Amino acid sequence: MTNGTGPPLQDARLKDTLVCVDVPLVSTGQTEHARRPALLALGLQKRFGEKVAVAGVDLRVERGSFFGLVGPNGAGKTTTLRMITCLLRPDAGTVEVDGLDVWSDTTAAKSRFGVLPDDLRLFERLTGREFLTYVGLLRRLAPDVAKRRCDELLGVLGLSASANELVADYSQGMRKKVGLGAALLHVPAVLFLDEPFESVDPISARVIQDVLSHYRANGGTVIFSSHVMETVERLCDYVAIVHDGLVVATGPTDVVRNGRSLEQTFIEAVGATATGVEHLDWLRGDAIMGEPVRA
Amino acid sequence: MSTPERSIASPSLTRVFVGIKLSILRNSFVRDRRLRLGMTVITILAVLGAGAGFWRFFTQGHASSAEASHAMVLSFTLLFGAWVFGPIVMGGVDDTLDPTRLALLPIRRDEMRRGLVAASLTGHIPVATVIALLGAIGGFARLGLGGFLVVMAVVMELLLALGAARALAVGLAHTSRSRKGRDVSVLMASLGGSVLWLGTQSVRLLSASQYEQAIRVMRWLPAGALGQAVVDAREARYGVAATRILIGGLLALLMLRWWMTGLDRLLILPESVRHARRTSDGDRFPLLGTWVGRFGERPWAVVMVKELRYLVRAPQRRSALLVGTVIGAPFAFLQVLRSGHLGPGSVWFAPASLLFGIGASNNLLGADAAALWLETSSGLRMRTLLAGKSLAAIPYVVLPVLVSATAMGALSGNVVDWLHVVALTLLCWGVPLGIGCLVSVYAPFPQPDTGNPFANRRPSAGEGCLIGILGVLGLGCAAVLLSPVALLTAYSRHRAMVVVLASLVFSGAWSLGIWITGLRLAARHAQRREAELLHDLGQRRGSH
Repeated sequence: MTNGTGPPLQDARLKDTLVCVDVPLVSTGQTEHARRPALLALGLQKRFGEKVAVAGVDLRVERGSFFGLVGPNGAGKTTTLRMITCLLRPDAGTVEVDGLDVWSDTTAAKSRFGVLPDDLRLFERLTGREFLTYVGLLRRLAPDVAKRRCDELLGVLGLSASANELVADYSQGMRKKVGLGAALLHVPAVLFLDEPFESVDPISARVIQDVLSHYRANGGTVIFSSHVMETVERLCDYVAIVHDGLVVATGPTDVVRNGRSLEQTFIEAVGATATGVEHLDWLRGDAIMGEPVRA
Repeated sequence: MSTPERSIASPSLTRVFVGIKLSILRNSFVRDRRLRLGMTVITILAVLGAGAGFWRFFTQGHASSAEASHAMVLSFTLLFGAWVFGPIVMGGVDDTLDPTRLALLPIRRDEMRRGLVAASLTGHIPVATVIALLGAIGGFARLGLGGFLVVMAVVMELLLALGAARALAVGLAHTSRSRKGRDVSVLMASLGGSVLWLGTQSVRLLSASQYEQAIRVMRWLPAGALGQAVVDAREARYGVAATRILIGGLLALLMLRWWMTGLDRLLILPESVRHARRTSDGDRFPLLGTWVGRFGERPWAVVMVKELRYLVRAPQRRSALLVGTVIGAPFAFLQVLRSGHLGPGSVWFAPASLLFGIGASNNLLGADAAALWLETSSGLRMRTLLAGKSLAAIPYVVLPVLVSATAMGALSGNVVDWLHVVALTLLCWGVPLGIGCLVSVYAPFPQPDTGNPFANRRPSAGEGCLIGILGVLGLGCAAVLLSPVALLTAYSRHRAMVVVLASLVFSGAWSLGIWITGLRLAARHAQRREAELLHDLGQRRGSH
């Protein structure tokens, strides 16, 4: 059923929630379905007026991968992820997730993946527990299953104490965690995360990483975008560097790094130039240490 | 990787949608002290409205054919109009169950449709409407085919109102893709609403023959036809009733379909819309930037210019200004009609048009509240902040009066009084804005951060009622505070120019004094409560 490899599970309660059952991992005796990549995006393009956001992205992500999408701000990462997850219709290109064309079989495709978008739009006037339970029900889980998974996820994600507070009162990190819970509830085949570690404290980041590692160890595929090179380098076995709407480098992380740090590779790939910080001559000691001025 | 626990025993999505809506409503009442007041007010109003509506419909069931026909045609048309235009005009489009928040879930179109229709029928106003309409069933339905037709007519009326309201809201949201589209849509919706509203308000002013003629026209409109069908069914004119219901039903289905088609597009387009808006907005108003230099880069001027830029760019603010102006003018016109006839003095009724614009000037901190931290953390004094925001709100209180004064001046031909009103309007903005400063810090409302130009308040939270009550109270205070100006104006109106000018100078000074006083009192209250204000206005609190 699962290969059981990967980091040890931090909380045994998740075992029941995140065990993936009927699709074998990439190994001998694969089914036709299992031989298909988790994600296959070909020729994705998106233009906003004059601005070309994505100029033709091709991505192939194998099942069971931990895939990192990195790139500078405005490179097209979020736009790409949105086109892949049916949130933004591409101008051109095709997307298959878990063997399903997301733009021709949208409902079925959505049931096969989970998403943690960057602009997390939640029902703010629901409590965390209500939110997760309702997401489970909307994903057609039986009420008792939805409730049990919700309680387990709240416990593992460290949200039990605040489960009955309104989502509006959650911190950014808590929102990320409850959003991750919502993305995992239905045991997706592929998980898309847009900047999952942004605004998250180290302890919460560790919790999220543990959950993702457990999910991946049980056959799940994780595709996430991030600016944090150290995290991508540590977690991902595959990486793609996006710049100006194009994939400029992709492959196994070690191959892409080619003996350097991922950050160094990234900076070279996107052609970063000098910052010009020396021009900020007004940011000087006497001004910083001067008297306060009231507006 | 599917889960064996995804079960056919899962509840229908329609029930889940209703459950979410009920949870949101319950949480608004139980967990949020501020919303509790709004929910209480809207509950009371809904109960009163439901009771009054039920009684009106029920008693008409025993009235004569002609009387019942008039009442039902008019009531069904008004009900339809209130559902369709009310939320848009009052800035409270109910997207409690915002479908864009469900975009990531694998929900089929038909499930989404059923769920959203059911959720739309959950809440104070829908329940009050249903209770009121039950009065029509109780009053008109008899056992047999007639009773069945009455029930069908009532159901179709409800679906028609719901479908048209939602279709219009979604359709207008689509037009938000461009600045022009947004403004035209706001203008059209406001005009439609104001015409309908003006029409209903002036019913009592019509002569018997005019009233009869109006009812005859309404009978041809879908909602009026359904109202007539109720009477036809009671009178055993089954064929006619069934035909009217069929037409109304087809239109209801068409509206519901239009709504859902619009939703399908809305679920995958918002990003491109947002980008298009960003690129098209650009820096189209560079002149505003030079104003800062003229005011010596004073902090209040910086705040004012920033707010004015927002007034030009932010759809919700522009829609508030447009709606306030387009609805305000007919309101003032109605007051003229009620007073008797359109005479030379009509132009003095123009200030009544403030009623619909004052809501925005009473909520200076609630618009774009998410960025308030920037202004407070910059060390800006609250007085400076309020002064800048308040000055930028002058268009909200001046434009509606100028437009209605000009319209009435043109109709009555009274140029002298028109000039007088225009001068007073330009001089006396300080009174409503001084009150606005105080209301803004004592009762701030976070404006939802949404692309919908009509969503100026949290849906299903009773805020519309509170804002309306505060607006009326604010206008009452303004009337009291402006009474010296009114007395002086009445005294100077037909005297020498120098007396008129002196009265204008006094009016301006008085108004400025009121503004400064209001500003100081508001700033004193808010200065040490910035943290609480930021919490109350937190953008997430402004969401669903």
